[in-house]
Amino acid sequence: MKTKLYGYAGKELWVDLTAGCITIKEIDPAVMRKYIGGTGFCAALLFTELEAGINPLSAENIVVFATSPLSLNKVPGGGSVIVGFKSPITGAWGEARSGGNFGPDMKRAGFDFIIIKGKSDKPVYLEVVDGTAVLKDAANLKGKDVYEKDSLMKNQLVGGNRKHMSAMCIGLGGENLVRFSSIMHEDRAAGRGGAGAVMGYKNLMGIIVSGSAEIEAANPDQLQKILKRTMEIVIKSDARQGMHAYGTVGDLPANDEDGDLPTKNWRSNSFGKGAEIFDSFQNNNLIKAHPCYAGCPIGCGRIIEVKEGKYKTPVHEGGEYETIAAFTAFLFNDNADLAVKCDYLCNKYGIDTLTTAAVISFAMECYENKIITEADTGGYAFEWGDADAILQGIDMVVNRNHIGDLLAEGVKIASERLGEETKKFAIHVKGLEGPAHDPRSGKLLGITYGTANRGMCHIHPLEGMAFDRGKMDWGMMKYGVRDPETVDRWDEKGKGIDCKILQDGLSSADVLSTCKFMMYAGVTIDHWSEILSALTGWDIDGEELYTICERVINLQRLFNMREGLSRKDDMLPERVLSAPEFGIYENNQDCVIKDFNALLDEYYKTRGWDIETGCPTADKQKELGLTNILL
Amino acid sequence: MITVHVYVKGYLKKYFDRESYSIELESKATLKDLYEKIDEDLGKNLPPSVWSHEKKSFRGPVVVKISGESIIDLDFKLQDGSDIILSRLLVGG
Repeated sequence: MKTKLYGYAGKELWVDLTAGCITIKEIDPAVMRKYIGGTGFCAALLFTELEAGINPLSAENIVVFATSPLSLNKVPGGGSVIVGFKSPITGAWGEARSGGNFGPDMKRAGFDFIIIKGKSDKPVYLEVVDGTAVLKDAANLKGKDVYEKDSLMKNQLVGGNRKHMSAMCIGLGGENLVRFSSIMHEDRAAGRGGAGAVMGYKNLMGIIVSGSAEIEAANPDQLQKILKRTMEIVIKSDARQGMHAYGTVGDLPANDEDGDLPTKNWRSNSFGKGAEIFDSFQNNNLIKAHPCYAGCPIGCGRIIEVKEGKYKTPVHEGGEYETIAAFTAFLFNDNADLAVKCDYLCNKYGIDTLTTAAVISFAMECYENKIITEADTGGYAFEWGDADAILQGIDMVVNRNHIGDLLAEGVKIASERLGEETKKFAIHVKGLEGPAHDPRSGKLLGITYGTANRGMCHIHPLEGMAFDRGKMDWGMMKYGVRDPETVDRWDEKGKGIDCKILQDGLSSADVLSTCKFMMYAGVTIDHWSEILSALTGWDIDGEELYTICERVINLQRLFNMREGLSRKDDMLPERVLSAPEFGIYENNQDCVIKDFNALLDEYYKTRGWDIETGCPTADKQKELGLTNILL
Repeated sequence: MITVHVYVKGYLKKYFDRESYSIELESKATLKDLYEKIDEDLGKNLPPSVWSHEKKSFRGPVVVKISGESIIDLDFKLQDGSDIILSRLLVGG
């Protein structure tokens, strides 16, 4: 007799776009117990289903939309979905997360996972309603922006407007195979790594989900108690107060002062205008706080606009720290209105804001060094902070015009094609461009950037500067991480160990497809395990969840090893390992990581990885149950 | 007159020369009056990353807790002997 699997919808939806065939499969309880969902399920599936070396922009690639038992509106952070894929910008492991109702609505529609294979010979979109799914002609969606596609899919939904319905779609960026295209959920993005380009290659314009299925918990009373307790922890936390009142952009002034704001293509770690830009945003752009999903106790999102002038925008959700910081400091632009306009355009076109700002910043440095000229830029002077260059840069990238055709490939490929002299200002790890935090503000972020499986990412799985500067431990001291209050941000020794423990612990939010900010507000891996146990009936404590997360990180690492990555791909760009050229930390040697190789050695040893290659050892693979992925 | 006790926590500590202050205010003083006093007495030491001299208030996610409750309303009336905790979070993102 089959055991009922509580907490899950119980079904995987497999869509083969080449054959135009849709298959529904029961989820495998053993796989769920071993990998849970989110990035865990994605790792198991992509490792087993993808051949090594496939072209990410080919029919062979797979895009997975993954939830977990915690993907419910009533769970703190449950309004999330994880997207897994082989990244077209790194050629390696790709994962991205979007906040919003799509994850919970996907489960209401009857599916824990949607797996997209193959390539359609014409534009289509996927409609998933109450346990059934159909591919629909998307001729009228093709060429439309994200907002238009979203509206069209909802208006065309079978049975009309429904209470629970959510859509994710690509924009023109994805259609034009811009390698850093995002998959958008209204103004929220599964942004990094280029999942939108993979969908665009497949001719899949979007997915809409709707349903009314209820997910049954194994222990409803226990679940109610733990949800009440964790919700109270979040609501009463100082972090919640700060994030709700000021959003993530509230950090801009302090990050600038602390040297955590990469500026002018990483030539400095401080801009000196963070407070001014923040005030302008608060006074002129901010309308109100906004939760990205129904039930969120934090509400870090912002409803914003540019009211008038040449950068006027409609009212929309945006203004997140990373984007505002990237479209100001990266580009040496001090106009918050312009940054908001860029944010709006990137969302409308479905391209990653961080990489978009990074490629334009890279182009500006190429222009400064006369490596590219106005003959390449459609006649625009790509000078630092130039508003026309920034706006035209976005347009050129999305439409692959002029230099935009090259920039649409990302900094790594663009630099390789432009020549060796551009390598020193091509700032990326594994091909993913850096976000708006600088490891010259604290050394833990350096080892995080080097070793994150998706590349130079600050939050998948760990935001290193929040330990070094914010003195957060996320409840991980009981797992061996040091008290951050006892650690100086400039220290190096020991941070390879701290990094490993924190990466494993904080990846719990990714494995569970939840919002990591709940962990900033006091929800720990132990709380997650209690919620998971109440939902599924499994007896999983924090220690076991921690081991599952370690397993997932190692499996992602094995995925990358299989693609040919090794220790050399964990190195940081030389510029990031050098003292800032200007600003309040100019030539400050405290900022500089003295011995990155020693940090890597320490990290590898702690992980049980081979020092030379960076590959998980056979013993480590055996310990984590990775000698047979699915058993 | 009333006296309130201000405690500085976390990230903010580096900007203040002490971790606690006793501050005298008029008897009907509000949170806004406390901010004006902070600007007057301590403001010159506070950098723009955390303090707006124009608005005479904290800039960014500084949480003000009075008797354990988070207070945003500048017209909140302070009581004699109130414990006021100022902390600035790094919110992430």
